[in-house]
Amino acid sequence: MSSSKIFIQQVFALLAKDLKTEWRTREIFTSMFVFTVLVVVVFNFAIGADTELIRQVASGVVWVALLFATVLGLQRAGHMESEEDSLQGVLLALHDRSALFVAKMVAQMLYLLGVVVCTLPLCSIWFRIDFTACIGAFGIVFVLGILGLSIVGTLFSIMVLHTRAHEVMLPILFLPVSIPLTIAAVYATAQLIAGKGLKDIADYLALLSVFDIIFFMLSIMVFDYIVEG
Amino acid sequence: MSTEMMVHLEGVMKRFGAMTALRGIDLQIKRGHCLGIFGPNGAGKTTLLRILATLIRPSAGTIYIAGRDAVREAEKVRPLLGVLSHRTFLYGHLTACENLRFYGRMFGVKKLTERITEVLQVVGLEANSYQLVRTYSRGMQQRLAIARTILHRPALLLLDEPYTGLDQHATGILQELLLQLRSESCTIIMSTHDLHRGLNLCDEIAIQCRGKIVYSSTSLGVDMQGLEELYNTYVE
Repeated sequence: MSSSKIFIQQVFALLAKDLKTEWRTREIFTSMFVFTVLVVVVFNFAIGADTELIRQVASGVVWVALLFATVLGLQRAGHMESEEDSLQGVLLALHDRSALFVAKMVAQMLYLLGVVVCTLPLCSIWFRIDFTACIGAFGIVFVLGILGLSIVGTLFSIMVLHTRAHEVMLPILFLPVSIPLTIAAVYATAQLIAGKGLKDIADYLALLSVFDIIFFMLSIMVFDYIVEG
Repeated sequence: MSTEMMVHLEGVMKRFGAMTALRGIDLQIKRGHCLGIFGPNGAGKTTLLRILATLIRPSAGTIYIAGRDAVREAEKVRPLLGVLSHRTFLYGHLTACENLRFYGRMFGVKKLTERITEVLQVVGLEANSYQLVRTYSRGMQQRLAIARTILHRPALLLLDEPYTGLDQHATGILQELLLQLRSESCTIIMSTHDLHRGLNLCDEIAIQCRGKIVYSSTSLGVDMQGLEELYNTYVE
């Protein structure tokens, strides 16, 4: 069998295993979703009834909630892999170790997309924002932003898995690196909420895309060394 | 290098920061042979097995498994290996069948359903195959780990303290299975504290101490008392 076929087969096997485990436990998605909703609710009460202020800060609130939800999800996922040293078993079976990275990244992205799909309707009620007005543009921003968070988050979550204080190390490494991505995503979302179109946020989309591409390539290049621990 | 050699190590060293775990290991194991590595805690047995399993890279030295460089061609070596450790590498929220199906798909095992049934019968878990692994007793989990190890018919078995945590039933199954695998010309490297079991099974023995192989020979003509004396001499 060719290397690319083995790679795809292993990515699907890993992804199916992760999604099946998550379907059964619902640990990762539930914790991420509840956390995101709580952050949105708390900010909603903190800001009060000032509609204009809400519209200004809404994008920041949503992205900060997603940023921390990513950390939460990755910590849960890491915990599942370190039980019974399952990660070692997976590494023994991998033809190309970056298959593990791709599968974990896609799984994390799916969880985050699920959180966004479930949270945005609630945000539109509480923040009185119509996300359906330019749903395609919002979709592009969220997919690019979530992809970036998943790439960087997955890379660091595997890197810190064998460190002593991995629950502290993950946010310490992940949050600063995600700042450029978060800023671009927040500004792009804010512009869309303000009624602007795709052309107006082209620069931010370019930044998000470049961030995703650079970190994806970097992750694939260094993953083999990182995963060795 | 001779084609009948399954494992060939030369000058293998491993450093973790300032600590040197392996100090130049030279080892050769023929196909179908079984090597027992004995040694005290901290001798570097697990590190050696982890390097052979391609889980970590050596700091220096060369490793050839089935004629392939285990560092440069790790992806080609991995399918040849079956690793059994005291950790099971299993997922508690999946059933026994799902765990084996996952590993079978990872290794690209042909006729997977039949093979899963076969290995579950070997370890006596066919009646519990649709039970979540987290509901298994420790002994049952270890038996399933044995099934996982042999699922893809590895040519080289790496066993790290395989009897640790096994109940009487699982110990019997493992012992029987290892004897059968030996008769099928599977190469086995086993690290153990259990001198008696190691001597019974292995046709080559090695004593490892402070990161070095301090003694190695065939097990022919070595009895239990002789092995104990050797072990005490070299370890103390």
